Amino acid sequence: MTKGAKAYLTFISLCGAALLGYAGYQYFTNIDLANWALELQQMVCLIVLCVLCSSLPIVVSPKQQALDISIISILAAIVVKARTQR
Amino acid sequence: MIVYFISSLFVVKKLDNKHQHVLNTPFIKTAFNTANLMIAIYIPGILIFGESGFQGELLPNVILPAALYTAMTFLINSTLLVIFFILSRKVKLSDASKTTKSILPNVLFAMPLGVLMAWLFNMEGGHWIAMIMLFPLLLARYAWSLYVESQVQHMRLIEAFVSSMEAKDHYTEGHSRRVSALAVQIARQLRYPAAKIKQIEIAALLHDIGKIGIEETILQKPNRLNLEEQKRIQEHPLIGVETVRRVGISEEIVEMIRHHHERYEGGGYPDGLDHTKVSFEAYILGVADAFDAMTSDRPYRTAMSTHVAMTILEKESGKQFHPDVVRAMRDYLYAQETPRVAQSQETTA
Repeated sequence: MTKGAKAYLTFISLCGAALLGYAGYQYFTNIDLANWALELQQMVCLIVLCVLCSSLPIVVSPKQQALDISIISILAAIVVKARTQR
Repeated sequence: MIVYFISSLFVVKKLDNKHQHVLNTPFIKTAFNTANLMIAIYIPGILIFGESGFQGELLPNVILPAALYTAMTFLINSTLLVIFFILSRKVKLSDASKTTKSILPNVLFAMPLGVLMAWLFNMEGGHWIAMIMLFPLLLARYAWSLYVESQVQHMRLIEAFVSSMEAKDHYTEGHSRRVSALAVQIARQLRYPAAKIKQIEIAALLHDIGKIGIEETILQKPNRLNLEEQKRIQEHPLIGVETVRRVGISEEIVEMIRHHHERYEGGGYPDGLDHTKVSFEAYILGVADAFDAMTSDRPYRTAMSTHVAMTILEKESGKQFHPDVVRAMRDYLYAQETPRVAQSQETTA
């Protein structure tokens, strides 16, 4: 791996970590504690959906080209509560 | 993003017959892939849905923003990945953009399922319905994977057929594969749909399969064949038809195999039919077969040049060969030659 590629990997990873920190802060400060059971159930269901969609791509051709369907779970998670920090 | 981050810890992917998960993947790779997708999820989310997210009735209002979101997420994700590959000198920008363009429609195709899931989650108790719905979806995925696997087995069977035939006749080794590749190029030149091109590819691979039933003394004869031997070898399309029918090959392919030696004006073999009764695709096989035979060494003569072979095809256009197929063949060869000519002119300049 070239030096440029390594620097790029590190930069993107740090950006991701920063975004994750921000999203986590937003989520936990805005969490609806009155409905925590429903919140938890939905969260678990979304995580299960996301794990399945990411783990099981659809093989679309005999040449083993696979279609990653994680967009299904991402879209569901983004639209569900209409909050990007979810 | 929280959902995606937690789920990424549990994802198990099968790559090259190995199961990859967070524990057996290099940390920097996992960190980059997760961060990449987080950026790709976050930026379009803010731009399209805003901080407060999507407001109002979900259906049908959310469909257009969801499509836009999907496209943007995919493009950002791909771009960040492509930059890495370019920096690693593993891929060219032109190749990457071609791949991205070809995958985008498939990703958009998955988008309605995401909207459906979101709609279910928004209903009271809908998240449980969404979970139940996963079972038929997983079953459909499994059924589809079985179908794809059967297609792989089908192609392996065809490859085995071709190999056993070529083992019998060393002079035509690689001939079927070359004819298949050429027939596919002609079909593409004629703008055939992908499914039909696949049929042409298989038919071309199997076009000489009937030679399995012809005596080796005839197939490997170093001199020209006598009349009786010619008659015997002319039986190979019919033997081929009998062979492939037993393994359940589609009738369109069988027809192409049967008629690949028919002439445009009639009088070919085995049926002597003219172009009004023979499928156009059989003529594609005929041209590809003749071109490869002419440009390959044979026991009784050396290979002709591409130019000479093309001249013969054009001379026989409308007699032995279908004029439209010959034209497509010429256009394909011209398209192949042009970049080389342009390249040599650049070098000379």
